[in-house]
Amino acid sequence: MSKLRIVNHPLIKKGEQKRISFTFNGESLEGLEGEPIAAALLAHGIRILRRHEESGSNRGLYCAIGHCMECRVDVQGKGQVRACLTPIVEGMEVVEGKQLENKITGREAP
Amino acid sequence: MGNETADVVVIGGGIIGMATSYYLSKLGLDVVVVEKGEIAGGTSSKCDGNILAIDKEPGFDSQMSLKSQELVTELVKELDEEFEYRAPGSILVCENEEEMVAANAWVEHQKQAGLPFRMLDRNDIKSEWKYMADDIYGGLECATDSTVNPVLFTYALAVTAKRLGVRLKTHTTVTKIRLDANGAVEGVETSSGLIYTKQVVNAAGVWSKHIGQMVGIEVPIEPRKGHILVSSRTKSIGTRKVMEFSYLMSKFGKERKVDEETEKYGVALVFEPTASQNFLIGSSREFVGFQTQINVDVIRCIARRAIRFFPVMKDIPILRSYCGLRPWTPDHLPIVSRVEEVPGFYIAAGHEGDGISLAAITGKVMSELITDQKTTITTDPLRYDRFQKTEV
Repeated sequence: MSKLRIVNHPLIKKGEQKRISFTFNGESLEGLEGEPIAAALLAHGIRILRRHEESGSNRGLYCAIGHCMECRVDVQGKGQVRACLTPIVEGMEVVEGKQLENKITGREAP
Repeated sequence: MGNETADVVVIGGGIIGMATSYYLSKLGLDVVVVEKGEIAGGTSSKCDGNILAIDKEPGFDSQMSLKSQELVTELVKELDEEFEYRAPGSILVCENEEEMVAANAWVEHQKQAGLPFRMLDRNDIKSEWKYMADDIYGGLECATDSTVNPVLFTYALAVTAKRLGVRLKTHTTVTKIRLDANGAVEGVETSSGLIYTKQVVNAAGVWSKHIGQMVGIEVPIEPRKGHILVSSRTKSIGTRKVMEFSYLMSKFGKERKVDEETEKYGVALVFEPTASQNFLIGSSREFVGFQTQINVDVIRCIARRAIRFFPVMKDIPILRSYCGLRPWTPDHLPIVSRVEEVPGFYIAAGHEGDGISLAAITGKVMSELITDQKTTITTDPLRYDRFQKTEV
């Protein structure tokens, strides 16, 4: 498991959660079943969850309670979801939110 | 709190008040705007932004919209700030054969009136709209319909009007309208002092009934609540406005074939893509007084309707939702008029969901009425006293 994961804490019982594997941008990673996608990624030191659709600048976990909508990622079969609220499951394929073209202003994708 | 004077006092800093002030200031009049909150703080920021002829009854209504569209193309050049103007046209889509027949009749009427309407078949829809549901029969297009950001539009008018000398008094409440011995307008008392003026424009939208009562008249305008959903930024679903044909039925209070809840909340699909890579989804129509709390049942109902036309939307999050009050009149036309019994008192209000569409023509005509010029369009169908006549 990643060094960043907190394993010793009064609220965490050892061996309680099942280890699962998932992918982020195609890379295979390990997480704990049922933890939020953002938590699983943070444990691996991954903080960039999305590139702003217009500017391409980095976005990550901000409010962590589902309000700010900044941590949106794409999950295969589910579309856009909030990484802070969505539990991770075995085999989940997660892709960061990407910079997109703007068909109305005519700005093309990078 | 000194006393001021003005040629005209405009009550209301929404899209109608700002358009009126802009056109008046262009004619060199000295104008003061009295607004109880912020510029575009009411209905004008709780709406969507279209200048549509597609949903207007063929005849006076659609011609008025067309004239407004022409004026907006001039405003794009005249105003000091940009307001996300585009003119991609708009479409209405049909769910069944009956609607196609009605749509065809609608298109024929509009074409006879010289408007750029045409029918769209299933293939036309399919080739433009990759994400539209497969069972859509077809639809119709109005090629000249345009779209704006309503808040930016209101501010562009306000900023330019200010440069032309209009004084904007925000967070200022009208407390009384003074009449002289002959019952004509003499001044406006506000929370920040008295303004002497002989002309007042009631552009208070859903609050214009309240302002009318200050001079002893009944303005038949009621608030009609509408919800709108805002999507997150997403891949492009489409680049122009789509409404369902039966929206027209909802607008004009005719019978539709929809489930009970959709009927109850007056829900019809309105899809509006914006320059911010997202889209707005509307809308609902309800008479529930001045209550503006979000009703989650209505939000769910609107979302369900949107997903029926665009199944892909089930995987696109809604960022937030808002609702606003549309100033409804009994015959769905605004009041843009003198009030004969109160000399110097004018009304420019009651546009329901067409305030953004009709702001330019309303402001232009109001400036012409006040300066006794020939109006750009006939104003007979917009007269205040049309409601009194029907009661006799």
